[in-house]
Amino acid sequence: MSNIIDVSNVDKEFSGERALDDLSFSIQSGETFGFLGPSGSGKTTTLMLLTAQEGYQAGDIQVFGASVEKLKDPKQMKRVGVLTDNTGLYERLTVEANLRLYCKLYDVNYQRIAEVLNEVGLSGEESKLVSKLSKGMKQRVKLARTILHKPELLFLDEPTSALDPVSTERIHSILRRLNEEGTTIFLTTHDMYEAERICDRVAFLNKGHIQLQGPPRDLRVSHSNSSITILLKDGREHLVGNDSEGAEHIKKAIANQELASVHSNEPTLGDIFALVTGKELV
Amino acid sequence: MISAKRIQAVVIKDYRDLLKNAYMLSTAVIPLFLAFAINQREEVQSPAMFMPITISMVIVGAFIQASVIAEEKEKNTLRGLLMSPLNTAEIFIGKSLLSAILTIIMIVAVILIGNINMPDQTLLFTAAILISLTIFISIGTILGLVSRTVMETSVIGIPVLFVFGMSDIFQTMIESEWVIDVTGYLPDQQFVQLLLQLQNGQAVGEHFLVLSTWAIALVILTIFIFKKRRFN
Repeated sequence: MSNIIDVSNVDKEFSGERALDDLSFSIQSGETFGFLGPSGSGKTTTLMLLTAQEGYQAGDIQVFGASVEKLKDPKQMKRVGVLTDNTGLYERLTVEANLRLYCKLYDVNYQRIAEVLNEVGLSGEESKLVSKLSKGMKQRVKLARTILHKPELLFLDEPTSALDPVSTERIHSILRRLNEEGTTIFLTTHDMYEAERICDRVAFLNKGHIQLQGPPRDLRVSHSNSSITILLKDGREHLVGNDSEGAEHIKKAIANQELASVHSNEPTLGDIFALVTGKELV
Repeated sequence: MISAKRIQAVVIKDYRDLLKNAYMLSTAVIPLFLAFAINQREEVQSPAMFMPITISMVIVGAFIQASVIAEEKEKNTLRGLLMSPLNTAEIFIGKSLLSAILTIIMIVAVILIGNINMPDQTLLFTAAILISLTIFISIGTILGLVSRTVMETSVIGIPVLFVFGMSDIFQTMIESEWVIDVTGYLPDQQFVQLLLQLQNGQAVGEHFLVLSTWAIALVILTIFIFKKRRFN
């Protein structure tokens, strides 16, 4: 698979203060890549660099095999969709009027509005004023606006931040479907659950520097402490090793018909982040 | 390349939005009351007669433009436009066109309501209006870009608009000769002087030169501030 984004040794400073430090990573076509880090770690700055909203002092960023600056060309801009937590909707206008504007800007037929609203589960809400929608619905309208022109590459900045669990699940399911259809997704989040659920690979960002990256499952396995928890029917728990002695314990519990369940003790991404950076993911 | 289709999309959106914005609509009609008041007076001196036109440019051309831009920033909708295929020129033209059209409608309305005597040289008069419109829309755009909220445009905007749009009102209170000379170069005074000289059949080249210089300088300044503050 080819790389759709290549970031090499990028430095970014704001008024002499370093926001990104020797940042390097790449994203393959069709991948969902999660950028994890606490507030102020440089996630949004990275997204701004990747979408050519900000320049950088050192290094190189390639998007679609060309300099990121090419994204300023309207033709290239049509290949990407950007959803940040600080992009708004026109509150006095209807959902349809908001989307019609972007249909015109992206040269998309108005028929696509019904399609895209169906995709985000908002069919029948076209004539509602945006000001009357819930926060979760507004976020889905923003997502509809972002995918209206069927972009190959999606940039999402904290797409489910401050949403209720039902709205969050809806957004996750839309993102999974888009990814299955071939859309590459770059996502920033501080929600490790979100990263585990929808990302093929994640990178941990701390103080503007990537400290660890890889598939969530691989990271969990590589940081596992190799212990197993055995839960017995009477409620007792036993922590055993992932070795022949542990296997004997499990075998014995099964033989005595005492075993309720067996759990491997893999750390969460949040645990690994705290271990690697010494910080919590908040 | 500039796309008329994308500019039209922004203008149509702004028009629909304006129709539902009671604050902006009520602000836009203020010059009509002034024109009506002028019409009711038996004798109005020439410079004061043109006041409804300059007030239209100040209130609709500059103040409403400032509010439109500031609201796009306040509600974070400008960011969406900036990350779309719209280029800088299309954003500028698209975001200015509705204010410009509205100002022209208002100028025509105040001329009719106020029964204002216009110079016979329609072409030169139109050119003066268009150059002044560029000046006031640029001032409005700058005010919108430097303000964080629509409310802030009033705080920052009113003193600026008094200086640039209503300086002749204060000139009578000023005693210093050199201050009077300097304020004579402000856009509103140049515009009124241009109209008076047109009426009297005198040369207007110097006033056109001053107004054009203002327009070019303010457009350049607007672009510079836009590039600096668009994502703030």
